[in-house]
Amino acid sequence: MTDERPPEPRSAGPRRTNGRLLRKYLGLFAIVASATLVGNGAIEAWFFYREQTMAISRIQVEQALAGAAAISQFVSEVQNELGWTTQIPWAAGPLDQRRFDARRLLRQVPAITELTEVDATGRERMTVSRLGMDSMAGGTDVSAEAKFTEALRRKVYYGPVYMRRGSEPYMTLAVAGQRSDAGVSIAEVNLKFIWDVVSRIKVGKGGRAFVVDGDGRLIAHPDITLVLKGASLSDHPEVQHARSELEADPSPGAGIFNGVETAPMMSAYAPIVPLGWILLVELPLSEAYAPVYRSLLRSSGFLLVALCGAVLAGLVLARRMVIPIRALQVGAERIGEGDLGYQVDVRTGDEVEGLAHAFNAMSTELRDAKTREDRMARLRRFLSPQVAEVIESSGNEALLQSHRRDIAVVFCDLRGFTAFAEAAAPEEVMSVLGEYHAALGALIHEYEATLERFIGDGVMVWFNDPLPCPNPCERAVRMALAMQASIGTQSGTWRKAGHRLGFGVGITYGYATLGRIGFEGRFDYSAIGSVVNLAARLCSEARDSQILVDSKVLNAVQAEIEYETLGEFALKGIRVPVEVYNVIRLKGPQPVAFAAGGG
Amino acid sequence: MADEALRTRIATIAGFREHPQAGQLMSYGVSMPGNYRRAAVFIDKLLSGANAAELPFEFPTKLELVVNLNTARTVGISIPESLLATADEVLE
Repeated sequence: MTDERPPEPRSAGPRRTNGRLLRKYLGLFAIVASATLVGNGAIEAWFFYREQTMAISRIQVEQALAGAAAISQFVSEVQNELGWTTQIPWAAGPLDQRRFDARRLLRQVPAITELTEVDATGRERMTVSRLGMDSMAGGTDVSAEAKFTEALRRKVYYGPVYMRRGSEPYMTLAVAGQRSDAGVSIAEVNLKFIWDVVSRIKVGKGGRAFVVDGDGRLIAHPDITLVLKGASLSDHPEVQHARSELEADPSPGAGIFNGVETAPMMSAYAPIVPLGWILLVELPLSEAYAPVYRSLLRSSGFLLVALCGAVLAGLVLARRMVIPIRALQVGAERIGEGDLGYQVDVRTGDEVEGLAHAFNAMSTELRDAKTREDRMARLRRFLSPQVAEVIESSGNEALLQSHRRDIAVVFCDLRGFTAFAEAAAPEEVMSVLGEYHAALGALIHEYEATLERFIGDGVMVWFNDPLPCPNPCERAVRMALAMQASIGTQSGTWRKAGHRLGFGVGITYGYATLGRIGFEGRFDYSAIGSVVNLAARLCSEARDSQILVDSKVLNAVQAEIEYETLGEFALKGIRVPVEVYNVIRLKGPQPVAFAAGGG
Repeated sequence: MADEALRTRIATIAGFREHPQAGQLMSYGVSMPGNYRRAAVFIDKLLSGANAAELPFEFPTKLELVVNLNTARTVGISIPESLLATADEVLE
């Protein structure tokens, strides 16, 4: 459980960020694409809708006008044919001739079912019928009836539409002759013939034309059963509208109403003069606007495709952005975890790649800096800061490889320290050691000596390695003298505290093997050779305030110092007795510290 | 029937135009093909679910007068001009 916890927040973080960027891109693309398309589609559909409405209205008005004209013509043809029968006055000509003419008229005009001829006095003289026997006897007086009086007055009379035998629309059409003694011909006209006219008007697939009379009664309809049922449409909205509009202005018009089947219809009307009838042409809205709907559907399809495209583009773009960003994030995390020098591989060819390059450069720089830092830390352990800097900047650690070289080895320690350490409190011992090391350390740095190590009160340093220096022996002696002076000052304080501590130094010069010793993670730079042993022995031989040197050192610095010869010493571990000299002081003007600390 | 009428020289008047076409004298009545055509419309309506009780009856608009002049000559009848003028079809 605890093992699974840590990775969770790390993996959840980037994923959440990833999703956010993705969503942003997707949203933006989708909005841009759909806004453009929806706007365009809506505007186009709106204009298309307007144009379609206008175009269909225009067509419907044309059709209504044409239909109305055809019906007017039908009626006027019947009227004209009827006119022939009223040209001859009743006084002249035999009745048979009139009957023959009437028969021919019926033959000529199928819509006329029955023809009655009335003389000028209003008496029926002859009736010719398709359905009954011809009557020549006449006798009925129609002089008071509207069909006679109106026809005389206006030369023509259009009777109201009536249903013969309750199912067939008929109209009485009466025509008066030009001469007053010509009488009136009264025809019963079967209006089913108007059906032909109406049926021929083709309005789309679901559209139709129909005719109503002045009272709103259906006269002609493609579905003739409606007509035969004697349906009245007087309270129908489109009929009411047409009637009220035509009362105000006898010109055709159009509108949108609920049709006979209560579906919304585009409707146009035209008056049928002079009958006072109305021809209506209607087309279901669903059919009228089908192209608009199709266009909308197309637009929606386009929108869908474009949305898919936008989403895809957003995805691709977001991925292109997110993948390198995540790589950078991973890189930053890795570096944060200490994997310096981690390189990010981003090849997008844009600013992100530039960022990745900068990132990689930074990471390389970090790694180099860390390496340098590590090496410096290592070098500083045994080299003076100056030398460490030189070696570091040269970048050549080969200087630290095993090699042999002449070096001047300086060993020094405190006289009487062992006894002091046994007697004094540990805190006091550490305090004295601290002061002692601080004093020596400053000088070791100052003279750029290479420090091997501290062993309690013992200190081992050398000169001429890893960087060669001029006059290593002189330097060693000068440093030893400076140390002596410094410790001399210090020992005054110690003496006041009751500690009797002296300072002895041994210096030798000769070949030693130098190099790194130790194991991985804990390397030391060390010198090995008899010169080191000899220096250690000389140091242990030295009494307080003595700086013992061998003959090689003395040869090198003889001119610079005052010294005394102590004779040959047989030293432990050294086969041949060694000539030992004690350095007293430098020749020439004495440093103040030395003079003060002498003795 | 037409042959018998011709043989016996009897003038016959029938209800359908097919009769004078077959040799009878004349016919006056509805056109059977026209009726059948309208009947098809009714059948269509009934099959579409119309209520038979609500369908209005229709009377044929057209009544045809067909005269066979050959038969008239054979039978020895002269057809008046006024009748011929109103005939829809005159067979000779």
